[in-house]
Amino acid sequence: MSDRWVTRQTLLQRAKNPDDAKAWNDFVKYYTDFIHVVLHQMSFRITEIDDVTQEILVRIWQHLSTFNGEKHKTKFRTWLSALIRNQAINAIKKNQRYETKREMATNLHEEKQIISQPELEKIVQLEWETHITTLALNNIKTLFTGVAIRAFELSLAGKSAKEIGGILDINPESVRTLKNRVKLRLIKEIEQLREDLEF
Amino acid sequence: MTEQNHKTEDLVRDGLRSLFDAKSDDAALSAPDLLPIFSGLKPEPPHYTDKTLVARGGMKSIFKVHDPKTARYVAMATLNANSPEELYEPFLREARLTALLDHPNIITIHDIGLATNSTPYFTMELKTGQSLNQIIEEKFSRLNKALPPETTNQFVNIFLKICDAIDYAHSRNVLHLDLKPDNIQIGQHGEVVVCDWGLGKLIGDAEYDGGEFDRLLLNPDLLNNMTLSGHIKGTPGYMAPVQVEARGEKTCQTDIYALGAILYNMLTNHTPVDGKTADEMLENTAKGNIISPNERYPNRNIPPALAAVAMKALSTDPARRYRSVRELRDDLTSYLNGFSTAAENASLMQEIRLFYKRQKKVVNLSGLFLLALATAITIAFISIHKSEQTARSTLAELQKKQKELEKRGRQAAPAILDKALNELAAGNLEEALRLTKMASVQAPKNSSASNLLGLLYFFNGQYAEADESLRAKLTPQYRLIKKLNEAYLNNALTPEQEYDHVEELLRIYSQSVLTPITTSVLLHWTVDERPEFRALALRYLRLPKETLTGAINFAVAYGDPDAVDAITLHVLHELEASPDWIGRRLPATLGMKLTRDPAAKSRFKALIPANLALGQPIVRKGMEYLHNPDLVVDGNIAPESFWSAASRPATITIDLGKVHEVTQVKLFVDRLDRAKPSYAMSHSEDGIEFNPLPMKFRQTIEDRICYAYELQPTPIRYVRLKLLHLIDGPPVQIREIEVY
Repeated sequence: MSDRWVTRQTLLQRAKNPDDAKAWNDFVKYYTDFIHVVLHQMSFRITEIDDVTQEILVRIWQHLSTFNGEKHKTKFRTWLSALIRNQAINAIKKNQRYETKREMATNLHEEKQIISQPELEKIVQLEWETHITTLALNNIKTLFTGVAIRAFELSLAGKSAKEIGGILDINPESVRTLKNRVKLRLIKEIEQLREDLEF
Repeated sequence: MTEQNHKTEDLVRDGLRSLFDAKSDDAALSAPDLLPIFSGLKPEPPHYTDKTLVARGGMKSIFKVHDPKTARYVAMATLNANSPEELYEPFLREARLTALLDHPNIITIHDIGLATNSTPYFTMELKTGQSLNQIIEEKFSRLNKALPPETTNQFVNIFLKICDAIDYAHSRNVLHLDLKPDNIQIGQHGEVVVCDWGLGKLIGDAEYDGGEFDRLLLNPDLLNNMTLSGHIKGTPGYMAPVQVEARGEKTCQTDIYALGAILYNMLTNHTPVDGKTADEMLENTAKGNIISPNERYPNRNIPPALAAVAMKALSTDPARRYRSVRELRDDLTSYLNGFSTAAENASLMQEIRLFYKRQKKVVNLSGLFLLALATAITIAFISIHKSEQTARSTLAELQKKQKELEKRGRQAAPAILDKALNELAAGNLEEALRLTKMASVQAPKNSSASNLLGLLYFFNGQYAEADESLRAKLTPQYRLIKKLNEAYLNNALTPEQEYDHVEELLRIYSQSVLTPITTSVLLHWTVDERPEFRALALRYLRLPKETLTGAINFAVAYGDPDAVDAITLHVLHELEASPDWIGRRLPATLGMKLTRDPAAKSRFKALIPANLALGQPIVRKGMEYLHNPDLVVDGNIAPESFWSAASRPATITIDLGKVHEVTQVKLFVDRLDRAKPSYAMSHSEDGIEFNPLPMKFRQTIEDRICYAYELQPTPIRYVRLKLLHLIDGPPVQIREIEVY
């Protein structure tokens, strides 16, 4: 297909092309785990999580259409948490309609507490940051040796270069170099992922 | 212990999160140890004197300098003046990497340092002599293209030394990655030295057991990032296919490919991969378009064994190359010793020929007897094996052909699919279906082809076939089509449900990237028999400008006059939204012809740029423009509408139909590299007296040039274009003349 059909090449844009199955799969892959975690924190049952996740994925994807390339990074998480919350409320209502009759009879019905927007925003913020940074670390693992990644992780865990050198049997000077290399590459990867996934 | 682990995990996660908002630019600045070699050196005044420039490349310069300490001349490499600091580390890295290698056929590094202004340099042995490239060129020019066996053997000996150097480097886990004749120096006494290890790299996953080298330096983490940047590095023609891919993994086979290319060059004075531009060469590299030296130059007597060795090393699939440089080297040594090489797949006759060559004296002495014996053995041997061998080789041949065909099919499929998409965009569904079927047969595993095929079957109402084809890697859009298709297949929809489903589908598609596929779906229900579905489809219809003509074609082919009216109206709105769009003539003309609404007709007409050549005897109509005209006016894109003029100066007068107040005239001409025409435009109210139009500016728009002429509001009915002169070249093609 000639270039005139394709204007931008970010993942978000590519995911809108009906013929780009790979972009869609990547899109699903990158978002699914994160949504699972948030829904889990909202006390959804495992059985419900998959369905709600599907709904949310489709909503996020639909939102792509109004996305014009202007990024509002500060608003991204607000928007995302509002979207997740609304879908969650919908799902709960749907289930309640279904369960009310049955449960009223047995009088076991308990009101499900839906989390407040500001609270959810905090969770979303925390989980999104964790999700993106973990994803980034996984993505760059193939670029380095295990020792380099290990040194970096240990330094995050608060170990000093000397301690790490002891554990991994390398000198502290190498530890510093290795961990900084990983760190720089990681920061680049995080920037790239955010560019690709936030809107 | 588990609690301890959890705590560590949490700490790691929090630490990671703290990097969420970090900026890579700041991070690079705050970490000087990311430049491990540079920061380990201190600037000091260099003690070298007597500096003279020897060579200057794109990145670095080589000087001849005198080292008073050792009282000898050495070569000094520096980065070119004003090089960005990012280059410092890779530059020093090249020196360190080379310094790791201690081999007679690899350039020796003496010293690495920083000058007083902190710019890096390194010194190495000073080599006098020529590059291998120069030697090859020289031999071929002197020997009139066919090499005598002595020269070939001389080349093979040089080549073996290069192999020695690379074999040694590989044993040290170092890859060169930019091997080419330019990077190999041949000294006055025949010394062969491999230089320029600037792109070299340590093999990442290989364990190296320390020893005499600094362990930190040999840590792949420190060195490898430099070539991991995803850019293509190397020299087209000598780069292995893997280097053409952005993130292909480099291995010993990458260097073996380049060695094959060098050998090829020695045999033919030509790079194995051809191409007018670097891009074309890269493309041919990736495709493996290489002609064997013997096929390329059948009259040059190139030893088949050497050609076979080069071709084996140049296999596109790394697994089919030599496994190691040692193996390549051994094969060549056996060539020099007169044995048949593994790459040659020696036949019995070949073995006997070589046996004769090896044992020339003995054979000559024993004369006919041995020859007769050899022949007898051959005949017996052949007769025993012949039937079996024929069967085997025929089968192998067949299988090979089959595989080749399949491979070609797979490679051709994307191009056929492209054509199918073009047909789809032009509104020709049958042709699109035919081509997509073809692509899908050629490459059954291509999910783009099978999904498009499914969609086209769906359009055709062939729901069973559609269901069969819509199977792999479905995007949400295709999934919706499949769901609807299933429902149609099972007759499981009420009209209301169908309406809802179609609406959902159209909404999603109208929000998708507009491709020929997307637009074809959006158009599908605009020609539906049911008015409510048509109305629905028109509500969601979005047409990029490039598809307007296709949309009208589609409506005419599949819709009734009402549908044509509706779609042409939609096209009209799109055209009126961008009245200056250069490609508007064709859809506007079609729309004007096809709509039944008189108001729409005249609005279309207003959009068509005036372009009617009248009353000019030198202007002929039709396909005659092929007979060498100087001037062609291309009113529409359709070929029968060309106007052409052969004599010079060629003129075209355009009648605007009536007198207009004109302020601007624009002339669009195809941009041709060779034709350098000059134009004069004039205007007239009565068609008798013409006044020149002053040119305001000239602008290049994509593939055409626009000449704009501006004037005070003037009553004009005729515009005349005169082509004054034309330097030899293809005919000038006038695309549009627009009058405002």
